[in-house]
Amino acid sequence: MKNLVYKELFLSVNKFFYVLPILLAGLIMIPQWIYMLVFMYFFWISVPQIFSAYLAQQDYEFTTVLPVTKAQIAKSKGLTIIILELYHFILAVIAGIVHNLVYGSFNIFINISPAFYGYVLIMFALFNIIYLPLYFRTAYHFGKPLIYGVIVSTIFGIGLELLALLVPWASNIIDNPNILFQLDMLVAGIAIFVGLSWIALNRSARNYEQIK
Amino acid sequence: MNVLTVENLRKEYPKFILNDISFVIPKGYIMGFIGENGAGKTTTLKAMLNIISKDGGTVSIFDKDMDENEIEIKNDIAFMAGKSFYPKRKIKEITSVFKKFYPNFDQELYLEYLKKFNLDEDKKIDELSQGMSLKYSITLALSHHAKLIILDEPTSGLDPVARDSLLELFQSIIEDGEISILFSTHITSDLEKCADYITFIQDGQMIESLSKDDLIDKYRLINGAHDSLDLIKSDLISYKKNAFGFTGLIKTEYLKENIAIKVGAPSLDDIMIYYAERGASK
Repeated sequence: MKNLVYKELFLSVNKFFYVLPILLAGLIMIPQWIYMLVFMYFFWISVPQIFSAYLAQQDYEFTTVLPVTKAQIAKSKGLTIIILELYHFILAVIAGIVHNLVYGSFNIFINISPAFYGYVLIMFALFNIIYLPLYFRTAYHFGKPLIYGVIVSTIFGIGLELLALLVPWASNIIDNPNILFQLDMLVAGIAIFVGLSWIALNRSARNYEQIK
Repeated sequence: MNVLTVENLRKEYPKFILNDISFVIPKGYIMGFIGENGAGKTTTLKAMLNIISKDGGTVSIFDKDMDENEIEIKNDIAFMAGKSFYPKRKIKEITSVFKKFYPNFDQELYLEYLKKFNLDEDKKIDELSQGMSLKYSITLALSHHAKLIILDEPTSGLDPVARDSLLELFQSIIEDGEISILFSTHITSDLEKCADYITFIQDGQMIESLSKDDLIDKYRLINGAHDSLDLIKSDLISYKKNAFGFTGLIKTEYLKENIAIKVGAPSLDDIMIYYAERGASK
């Protein structure tokens, strides 16, 4: 599995997708903005490019004859997406710290706080649980799975941002300034991200094994 | 000893069925896998290697069941599909990843083959000709000591010189009797040059799997006048009429001595063409 993930990160994923998160993290320095968008660019740019490159590069032709199981192939590709999400996440956390030092934490949409990063992880988790198992039903067509994953993650992410902007009682909950609440949200985000991603990997492996 | 035994391999698609494909490859020989486009050659190879799931049959490689020993078997085989992988990557990048999967990857042997084939490690795959790209794949296969090399249409698209050089390479690979090769093709002249055994499928059905000489001996190409055709028509695989009479393919055992016909040995092309003709007229 370690070798397969290395192969994905080194050979299958273009280097551009390691530069893009650095540029995207810079968007966090835009004052008073919908910061959930920073992470959504991953679904809109990186994911379709990476998965179309699998076809263009004959990636499956190379991978399926290596001494590995189908389950390992599916899991390594899913794990690669998770690693890239975490890479985005870490860079955005660093940019968020700088943002708050420069501008303070107040934002007309969701504030940049530990709770915000918890919400981000939930959004990633929702994308993973929808996109990955659906894609591995064919390991070929990524269009519809991507649309479904983007719709659900956008409804969650943008919905939460709009609630924070437009609905005062919801804003009080989402942007609760209590640090314990914020840390609770972060922990909940981590738990949901780990749980749903783990399920997504296993379902992906099962679906890939069952492809006719 | 057989390195590969395929028994009653079956794969069903809504519009195509690969049915009861069976053949064996003895150790140290080259088998050509022939059939027209769409006959099911690639499907057979992929189902054999569990790249796609099969709906029936068994495959054993090195006397081990493929389903139960997939990883162990894949360590000792190489499969090359038609197209080049990672066209924008350098040879050295691909090799650095590839060798991590094979504990017995022989770096010295790898460098030897690179030199022998004039492969520059700093070149990208899409800078190589198709023939060179194939030689790189073969280099990888030989460097991890693959005992069975399976190639899907390796010669299609190659110019005659590159094709000839590749076929010679195949023959040199099997010289010491340790490595066996299975390659699919619809260019039967390749097989005349280097195959020891031939498996022939058509429309997903098994037609023959024999040594090349036995296969050719099993059939006869005949031609004669129109009135002879009626006497032998039912025994022919298929036939073609022309202004002077007919030509057709028949199994040698059905030849009749008292009919005025000329008899000759068919080429592999003839066998394929007359079977295709039979399929078309059904």
